[in-house]
Amino acid sequence: MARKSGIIGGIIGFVLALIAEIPIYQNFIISLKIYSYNSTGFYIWGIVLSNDEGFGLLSLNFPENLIALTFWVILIFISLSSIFASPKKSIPNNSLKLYNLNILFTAILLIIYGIQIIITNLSNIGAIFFNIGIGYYLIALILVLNMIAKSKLKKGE
Amino acid sequence: MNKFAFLSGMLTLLLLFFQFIPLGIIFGSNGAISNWMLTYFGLTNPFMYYYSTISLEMMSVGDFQVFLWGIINNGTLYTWSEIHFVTFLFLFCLSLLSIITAFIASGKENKLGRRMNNFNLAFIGVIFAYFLIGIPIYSNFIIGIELGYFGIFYYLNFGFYILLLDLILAIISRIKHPMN
Repeated sequence: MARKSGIIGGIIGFVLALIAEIPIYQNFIISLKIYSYNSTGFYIWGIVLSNDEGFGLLSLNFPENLIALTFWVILIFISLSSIFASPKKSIPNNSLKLYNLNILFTAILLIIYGIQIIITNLSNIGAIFFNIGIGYYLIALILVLNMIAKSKLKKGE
Repeated sequence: MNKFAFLSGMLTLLLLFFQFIPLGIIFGSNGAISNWMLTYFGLTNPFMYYYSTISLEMMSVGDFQVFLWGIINNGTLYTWSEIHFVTFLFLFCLSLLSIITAFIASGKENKLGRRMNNFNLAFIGVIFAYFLIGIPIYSNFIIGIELGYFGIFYYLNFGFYILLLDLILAIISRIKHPMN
């Protein structure tokens, strides 16, 4: 049987990489931002200003655009590889390598965004929990799901 | 499953049928698809509106944006079949064949899969070579500007680099095929 946790992790990654908001019911909308600062929402794919004007990762100046593009490509890689590593027919050795890479990359993303969140809230550390977005928790969830998939793979061996 | 062939097929599919990749999608009520869904199905709150895009144009010269499926000039779309038949054959038809062969190659891990992999690599190679050599030759007909053989490199855009990635994936899928 396919490792569902890996596939779910991959789908969440794609959602984070492409989507800004998911409406659930009327005014209840899930925003997938990583964090917000001065009413600007920071997403994996770009930023949204307080006046609802959005900028993609390529509209930033050099080299920020390359850095943002790298993060985006890393997330796409994580999503693809966790989906590709999860089917039953996949080669266990290769899947293990991909899960390890995914865990490493997700941890790097979490650390980098974590540092950004701390730096933007240095004056009031307590505000971190107000400014942190669901996107950050979803990246952490991808990490956990990949760890679960890896442990299932090891148990299967 | 040959994953590299699958990815190569997906990238060609993106380049052939899309103008851009939407980023920051909102499932809101302002988009064209939303209005269409509302008009024909009475559904509110569906797809889609987006904040930003990653353009898939192969190159842009002046007011012309060149894609794998055609060009956009001052906001008007023209397919290759309307503009230039040779380019239509090399860019559009070969891309279509490349997508089909890539998906067959991704599913079949036998001799047929290997053959399809070879076809996919050959098609993408020809598309790549035609873009670098053929487009400068016919640039006067297509966009009304004569491009030198190296002049084209000034105008390349993201789509071209995605095609390059596509070519690399096709080569890797050829090398990594189980029949080899």
